[in-house]
Amino acid sequence: MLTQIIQNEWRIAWRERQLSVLWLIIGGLLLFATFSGWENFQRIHHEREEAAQLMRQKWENQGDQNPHSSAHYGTYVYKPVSILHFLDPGIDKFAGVSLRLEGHVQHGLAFAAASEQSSLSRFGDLHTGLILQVLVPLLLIFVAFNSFQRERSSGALRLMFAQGIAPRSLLWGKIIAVWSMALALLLLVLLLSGVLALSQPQLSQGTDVWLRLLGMTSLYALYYFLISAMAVQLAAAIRQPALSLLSLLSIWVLSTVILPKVVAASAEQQKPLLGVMQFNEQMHEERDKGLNGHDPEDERSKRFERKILAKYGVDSLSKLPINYDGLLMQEDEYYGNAVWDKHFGLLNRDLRQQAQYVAWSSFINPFQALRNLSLSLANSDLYQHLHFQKAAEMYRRTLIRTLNEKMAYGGSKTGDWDWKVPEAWFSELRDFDYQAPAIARSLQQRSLELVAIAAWALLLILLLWMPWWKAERLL
Amino acid sequence: MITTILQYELKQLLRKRVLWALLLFVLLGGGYAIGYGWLNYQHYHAQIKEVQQKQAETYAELAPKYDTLTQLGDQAPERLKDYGNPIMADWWYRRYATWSPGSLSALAMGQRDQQTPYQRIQLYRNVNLPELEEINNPEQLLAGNFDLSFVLVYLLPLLVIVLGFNALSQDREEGILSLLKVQGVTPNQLLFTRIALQFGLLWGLSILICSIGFAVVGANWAHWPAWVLGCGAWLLLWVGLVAWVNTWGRSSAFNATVLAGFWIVLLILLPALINFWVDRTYPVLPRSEFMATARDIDSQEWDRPTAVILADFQKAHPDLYSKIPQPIRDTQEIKVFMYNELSIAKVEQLGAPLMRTGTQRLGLENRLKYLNPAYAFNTILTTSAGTELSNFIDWQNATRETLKQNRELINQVALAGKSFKKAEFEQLPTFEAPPLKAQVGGNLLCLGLLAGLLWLLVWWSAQRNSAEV
Repeated sequence: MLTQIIQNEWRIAWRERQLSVLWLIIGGLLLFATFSGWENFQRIHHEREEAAQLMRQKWENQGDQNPHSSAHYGTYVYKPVSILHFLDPGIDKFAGVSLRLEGHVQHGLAFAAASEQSSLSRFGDLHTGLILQVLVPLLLIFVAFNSFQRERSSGALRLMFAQGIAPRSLLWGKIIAVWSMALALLLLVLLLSGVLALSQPQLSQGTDVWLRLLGMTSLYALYYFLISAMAVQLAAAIRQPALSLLSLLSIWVLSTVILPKVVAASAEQQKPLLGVMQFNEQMHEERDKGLNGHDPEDERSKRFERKILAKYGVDSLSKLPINYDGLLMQEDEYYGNAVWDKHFGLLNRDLRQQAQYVAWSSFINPFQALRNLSLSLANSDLYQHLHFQKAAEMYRRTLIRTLNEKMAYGGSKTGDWDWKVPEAWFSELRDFDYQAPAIARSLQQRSLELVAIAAWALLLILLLWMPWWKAERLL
Repeated sequence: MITTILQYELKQLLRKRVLWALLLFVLLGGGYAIGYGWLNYQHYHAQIKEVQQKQAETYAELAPKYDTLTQLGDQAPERLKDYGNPIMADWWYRRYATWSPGSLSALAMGQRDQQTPYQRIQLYRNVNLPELEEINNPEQLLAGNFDLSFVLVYLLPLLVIVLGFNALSQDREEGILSLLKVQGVTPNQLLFTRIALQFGLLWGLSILICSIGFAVVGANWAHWPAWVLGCGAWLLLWVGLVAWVNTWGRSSAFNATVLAGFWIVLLILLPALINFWVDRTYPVLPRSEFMATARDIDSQEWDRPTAVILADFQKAHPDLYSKIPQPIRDTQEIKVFMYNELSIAKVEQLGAPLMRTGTQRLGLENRLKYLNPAYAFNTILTTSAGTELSNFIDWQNATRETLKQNRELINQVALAGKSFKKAEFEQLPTFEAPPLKAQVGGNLLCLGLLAGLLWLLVWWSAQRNSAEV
């Protein structure tokens, strides 16, 4: 019986020209967005890969160099894009993509593409995620809003109940029918994404990408179930189709357009972030209190000097068998690292608290859960951004420490700023190789959203088991 | 007859509970947007103020030193003489170019939250090489701002749809329309009167919200007419769409579906497609490669022999070169200025395509505005608030000009082998914001033309379908 109800719903939807046209338009848009998203992903991926290679080339071909000059010359690292960027680019264009690594200074991620775009970019980009999150639910609403009205006005509903169809079975049948229409579109995206991912075997190696793709498909499938269940139950409860449509559209606008903005705005108000100038000044001030590699008169550096002289049992820097400047600069780095850990730690704590605040809103708005989880599965969310920033800073520390140690113990003496290391030595230093977090880590950070979306699914299923779904109520 | 319909409809409209609920929703939404925008602006403004205050404090601290330096001349203590060094004068006097859109930006934040609003005015600085990048939560940027412009651009059309989707269809579905026909009221009269009434009501509401917003944030009222006219044109377009769909003579549910479709097309799909088009035509150029190349240019320039730098400088700036006293021409101190000038010229040339891309993108977006009325309306709001990319580019250009003036002054003093005294210190340029360029006329014309064309279509459709309606 359930199969017959589903088949019947499909037949009706297909016969209604507007709906089939809408379905085809959304399907076409999905194909277009997926292909163009893939092309965009490849462009960005190659662009960043080439830039990273270029920087490495520059680093390796810097010529014979004093290690400290090399630390000032520095290098750039680029945030790689995850292969699932083509499905949901997330924060990519709003977040910095590259980071300059050098001695003494710790830069922030810079050059977000959106800062070079007009406010047209705030209207949103056409990507698969946008269609899956915003337009497909709308299609389900259009399919479901008068799913009872047709049978009510034609008397078919009465006939169905007379034939022994249970009201709950009818509801389930309609929900599954509406849901399956979205699943068909989702399947299309899944197949296409799989084929596209396979076309780049070096990027889709390992199970992580496939698990993420599977996770995304399951997530969207679950969300579409929520929408289908809610839309069909509302259509059953409200007799006037116009009112039912208006109610569903209001919920859609509220959840997809209004609430995410309101919640993000109030998260920002709860934990306002410092301006970059204030932030940097606080860091500079704290760093100045410590050792300064270029200021040997500084009290702290004198203390350090005494310590080193005592360690080597000599009474002046010139008698040291090593280059004191290298040690002093590394000492300053250690202090700078501690300052970075403190200030970026506080900043990241504030950002995470903002994200958590937004995450809690998933319990009142399942769309928020969907969006956050989608970003997370596509590895294009805030947490991944912070993870990259930390990995780059750790690499910077190792790189600068190696350079300072070379300066100190490589054979030069204190004050010998013209001492140079052969170019080949720089090539031997390890390149930055970023490993994005695995799916388990990504999902662990989104556990609130996972619980929220599961709770929503349970709630809607529970509503279906409520005693008020009786034949007379539906007629 | 029209007056009677108008009076009756007004009574009916005011009796609708859904109308009051919606008005409350919009007023609450508008109120929240104004409040949020205001708090956000306060936070932003405080940062700008702090930067400006820093500049004033440095000036207050340095000015007496230059007074003393001028009075004492060669008798000044060595410690003070350092301040006479042009590079040191430039370094110590911390000046900033600040991008500080006025308080109207609380109502239309535009791209304000994406940009770094300060740039140090200093000899070595280049506008293409910003030293600071503003700290933001990228997920918050992705979600977007709930400011008044959002309410007007996105939510106002929804209100039009909710109030008007069944302007005629409901009467037909309830069988009232045929009764009214008997009394000599034509469906078109009824439809247009209702639509006119709804337009008047919503325009009045948007004028009220805008006025409250302007008053609360203390915005410049000179921009009020642009906002009000923009809202009027935007509403005229939407009530036109509602009227057009109503003339088709279909059910209320059908009308609601189609109008929701229009909302999605005009506010989500078209802007996204045009964004896609613009991105493909003028992609944002990767800036970090430019930064790295600039870094290389800088070090290569410095590594060149002084004689070569001198020759190149002579070619590029013969006037300035001729003023360098012979004995100091090939000294390291003088090389610094010449190398810097040559290096900045090369880096600016390299960065020109980056600066051009923004203008090219804006040009294309402007040409496509007839396909994208939501963006045209948004541009009226953001450019009059000074928060659009075009306003930021104006600021960047003005900053570049200040940086150039700064270099010119320092070069003049330094290359002549002189030092800074009070007069030179006072001449160090400080940034002056460029005049605000609001793009109102063209965008109003665009909205007006689109609304006019649509209303022609409505009139034609109403005539054609009057019998069926």
